[in-house]
Parts: sequence; C-alpha cells; structure tokens
Amino acid sequence: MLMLSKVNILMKRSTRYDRWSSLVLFLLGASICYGSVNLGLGTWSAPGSGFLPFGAGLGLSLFSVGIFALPGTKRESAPSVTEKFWPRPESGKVVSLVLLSLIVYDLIWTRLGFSLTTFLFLVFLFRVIGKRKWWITIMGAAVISGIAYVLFQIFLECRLPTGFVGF
Amino acid sequence: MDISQIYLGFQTALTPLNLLFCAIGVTLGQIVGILPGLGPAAAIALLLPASFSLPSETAIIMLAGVYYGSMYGGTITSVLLNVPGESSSVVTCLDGYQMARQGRAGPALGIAAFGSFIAGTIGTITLMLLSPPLAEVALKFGPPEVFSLMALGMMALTIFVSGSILKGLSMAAVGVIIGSMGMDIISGRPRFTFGIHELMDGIGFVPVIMGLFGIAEVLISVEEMEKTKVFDTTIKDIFPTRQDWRESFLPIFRGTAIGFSLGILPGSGGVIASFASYAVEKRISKTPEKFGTGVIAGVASPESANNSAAAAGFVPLLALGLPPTVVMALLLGALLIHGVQPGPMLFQAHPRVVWGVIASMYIGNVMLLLLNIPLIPLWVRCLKIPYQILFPLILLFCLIGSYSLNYSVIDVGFMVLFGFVGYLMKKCKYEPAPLILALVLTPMLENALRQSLIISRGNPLIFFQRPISLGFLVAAFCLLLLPIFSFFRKRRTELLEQSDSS
Repeated sequence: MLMLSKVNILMKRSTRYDRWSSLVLFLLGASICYGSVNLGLGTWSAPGSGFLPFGAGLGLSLFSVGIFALPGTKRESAPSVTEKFWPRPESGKVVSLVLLSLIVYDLIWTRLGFSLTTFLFLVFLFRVIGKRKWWITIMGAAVISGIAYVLFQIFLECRLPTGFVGF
Repeated sequence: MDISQIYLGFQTALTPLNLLFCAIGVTLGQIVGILPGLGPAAAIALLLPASFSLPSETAIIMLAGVYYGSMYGGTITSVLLNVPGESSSVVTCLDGYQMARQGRAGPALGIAAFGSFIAGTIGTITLMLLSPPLAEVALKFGPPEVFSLMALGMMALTIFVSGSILKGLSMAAVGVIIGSMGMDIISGRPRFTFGIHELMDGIGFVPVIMGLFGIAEVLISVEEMEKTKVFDTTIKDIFPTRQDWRESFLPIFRGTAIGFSLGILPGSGGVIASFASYAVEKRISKTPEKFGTGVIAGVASPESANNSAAAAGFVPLLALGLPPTVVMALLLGALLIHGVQPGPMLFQAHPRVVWGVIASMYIGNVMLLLLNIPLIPLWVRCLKIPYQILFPLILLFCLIGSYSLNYSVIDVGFMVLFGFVGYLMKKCKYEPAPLILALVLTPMLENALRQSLIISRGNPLIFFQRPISLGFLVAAFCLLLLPIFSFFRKRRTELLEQSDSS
C-alpha cells in the first residue's frame, strides 16, 4: 500500500506534457524494435542490420516508461499543467503560420522559381507576422530576394530552382 | 611537437583566402554571439552549406571562427541587456550588467575582450601542445576502445547538458535510430527507408541540425516578439585602468586554467567552465559579498574561462574524433562532409587542415581583439535590429542551406519536420544536443561495435576485458550513477516531507 501511494505521488508530479511525449517516444521505440526484428538481429558473432536500431529502440521504450512514471525536478520537467503552453494567445497562430509558410515554400519553389517564391515568402512574413508597413515589406522582400539570388546562385554557385520564370 | 607542422599551419592560415574566411567567420561569430536567440550551433548549421564550395581547411577555419567568435560577442548582450547572447555568458550578467548600471559598461566590455584574447591564445597554445601526443596514444585504440570512448562521450554530454537524464538518454536513442537509417554499411541492406529512394543515404545531417537549431529557435522566438531594450548608457573608457588590470589579472589566468581543464572534458563546454570560474573567484575573494554588485573579476574570470574552454573543446575533437559539445559535433559533421575524418590519424592524414585550423585560431583571436574593442558601438547597434526583420532571413538561410546540400526538396521537407519536432522538444524540455551527437557518431559507433563483436567471435565481454575500454565504460557508468543518486536523494527528502505534512 505504501509503495502504491508513493507511485501515486510520483505520477501526480509527472506533467501532462511529459506523459504525452513519453507515450510518443514509447510508440516510436516499440515500432523501431519491431522493424529491427524484421530486418534481422543476427547473432552476437555476426550482428545483423537490425542489431543496433533494436538496442536503441529498446532503450528508448524503457527510458520513455521512466519519463512517464518518474517525476522530474522543476528544472527538468516540461511545463506544469498550470503553466501555459503558449505564452500569448496569438502565439499558436503565429507559429502555425510560420510553419505553413515554410511548407508552402517547399511545395511551390520548384514551380515558381527561387526569386518569385522568396519574394512572396518574405512579403508574407514581413507583413503578416512582422506587421511591417507595406512599402517596407515590398522593398525589403525585393532587396533581400535579389541579394540572396546573387549571393547563392552567382557567387556560391548553388543551383537554385528556376521555375517557369527562369530565375 | 614538430615545429615544421606549426610552420605549415601558419603557411596555410595566412593565405589570402583563409585570412578572408577567418575574418568572415569571427565577424559572423561575434554578431551571432550578440544576437539573442541565435547561437553558434544554429550559425554553423546555417553556414555549413555555404562552405561546401570551399577547400576543407578554409571551411573549417571559417566555422571554427564562428564558434570562438561567438564567445566574444555573447558578453555584449550580457553587459548591456542583462540577456546572455550565448549560454556561456549567462554568469557574466551578474556583475557585467551591474557595472553597466554604474556607468562602467566600457571597462566591463574591455576587460572581457582582453581576457577572452589572453584565454583564447593560451588555450590555443595548450591545444597545440596536447593534441598530438593524445592522438598518438589514441592510435593504439582498437574497435572496442573506440566504441567505449564514444559511449563515454555520449553519456557525458547527455548527463551534463540535459536537465533530465532520462530525457537526455531518450534523445540519444532517437539520434542512434535516425543515424542508423539508410543503407547498412556492412550488409548493404536498406534500413527504415520506407521505399523512399532519397533515404538510402539516411536523413542528412544538415536538415536535422538546421531544423532543430535554426527553425525550432525561430518558432520559439516568434511566439514572443518583443523589442529588446538596450541599457541606455554611453560606452566610454573601454580600455581598463591600471586598477582594473590589477583586479582582473589573476582572475583571467585562473579562469583560463579552469576553462581549459573543464572544456576538455566531454559534455562540459563553456557554460560549466564559466560558472565554475565565477564560483572559484567568489570563494577565494576577500570580499565575496561584493560579487553580483559589479565586480570586474566577476566578468574577467568567466569570460576567460569560456574562451579557453572553446579552445579546449578542439582537443578531443581533433585528437580522438570525439566532440565534447554539440557545436563540436557540428564541426565533426562539417569535417566529415569535407572528407576529413577527425581522430588519431588526422594529424598524419590531413596536416594542412588540422594545423591550419589551429594556427588560424591565433590569428582569429587577434582579429577578434581588433574588431571587438574599437567596434563596440557598432555591435551595440546590431542589438537594435528588430527580430521581425531577422527571423525571415534566418528561415531563408535554412531553406537555401538544406536544399543546396543535395538539391532535394525532400531534404527541405525533413528540415521543416525536424524544426517542428525541435519546437515541441523545446516546449517539453528535451535537449537536442544528445540527439545530434548520437546522430553524428552512430556510423562510427556501429562500425566499432560490430567489428568488436566479430573480432571477439560474438563475446560481448571484449569491452570489459581490455583495460582502456573497461576504464572508459567504468567512467561512463560512474557518470550515470551521479544523477541517479542525486535523484533518489531528492525524492526521498520530498516523500519524507510529504508524509510528514500529511
């Protein structure tokens, strides 16, 4: 009983974020173990392709159980339940928009070309996220796109996507 | 130590191209150190792709310059903003900011620059003296010793860097998993490639570090974009007075010694060195109560310590191929990308690279001193660049950098994915450093492990039967026990307190 009550105290201290993250890590570790067995663990004298990943997957699963069950100190634990995940109400929206802009950039820049995509990307970030004035946004985006093109395409000889525009 | 090698090093470092890129590296490092939210790891990650077209020694000279240059720059924000530009300058805030409030920002920045120069130079000389003999010893290592050494390095970094040992170990395991993706080096079988052709070579090192350090940092920073407030003071009397020198002379040398001794150990780096040197100064001071109120020794010692620790970190990297910090892991990755294998053979196989980099560190330190003192007002202006302008540029660099490695949009996709993962890791307080180190070391670690087992005909006890290997493993085990003991002691006290109160 005493043991159980100790475990209960510990479980209360492990934060919600720690529990979710440990669950994800456990699933990842277990999947890697499964995949490694399929790859072949080999023998001690001739380790197979799955030998090292199996060890890492097993270790990950065990560590994640530890994170789930054991509390951390204040310094090491993820934010407590009372602590807000987003520091400001609009933080989530800003982070999502930045991530979305990166994904869209990656999807379209081979079609639109480096310069045009970069210009649109910078306009979006300066105006929507940075809340700059329109003329600063347009000027800044145009100048930076141009400098980036000259620096990377001409000086550093990177083969940046040209797209239908040709540059 | 062969004097002809030093001559070769200076001959390499003093070519116009290498001088130019050394200057670029230290200047960028200085700026990176100044700008809060952009550390040397992220800067090296951003610059790595730009270095591909350069000769290997030039690329490493530039990237190394970014690292030790950032140590100089981190002081400026600590003194003027009370916000450390660099984690190893955290402790400088205590007395540096108080000095600025008393109108002594100039001497604080000046002594930090001179102390950093002295420590950086002594650190480089010690690096030059220590690395070759250590590399000779390491030449005798077989696969079991190499495996145990890497296990020790990973354990040390995990324990010293991570707040939670379990989280650190789980990140190291994730690093091993990611590092083992792609074609198996021995059997040639694809592992966890999911039929994607681009994954046959594994997930690139560059997209992972750019995601974890570049994108994730930006995502965290854009959550709260507030204007930074620079302490409104006139920067005057940058050159320390005779009294300042008298008070700082011994702390600089003590900081240098402490910094180098701790910086050479895996996992410690400049942060622990700067805190330890500050603690030592406070302990031996006749007026410890004055620390935290603007004592110049409280700036001189930690700033010297973090610079000599930066030089010391190169010893295990160059001599053993073992990066003691995450920035060194990035430099290891950079060396590997440029076809240079760090470790015992480095001094024989690539003398131009290794001696060129070491010699460039002398030159870089002189450049930093020349840049730092007269340009302090300019660096202060850099602090006023709004983050709303800065973060799109960082994102753009990340996008171009990850694409230009293989000209692959899949790499860019992985970078964005790891950026998001890194963001969540930061939110849940998982440190990326063990993951990066494990990712970089996994190919060598796996090779050493499998070779050892083949040599011993399947006897895993081989790691315990060879004395050097056993020593490394015992050290790793002892490191593991430290936080476990401390954890159970804390818990016991807490549980006792809780049962008493109920």
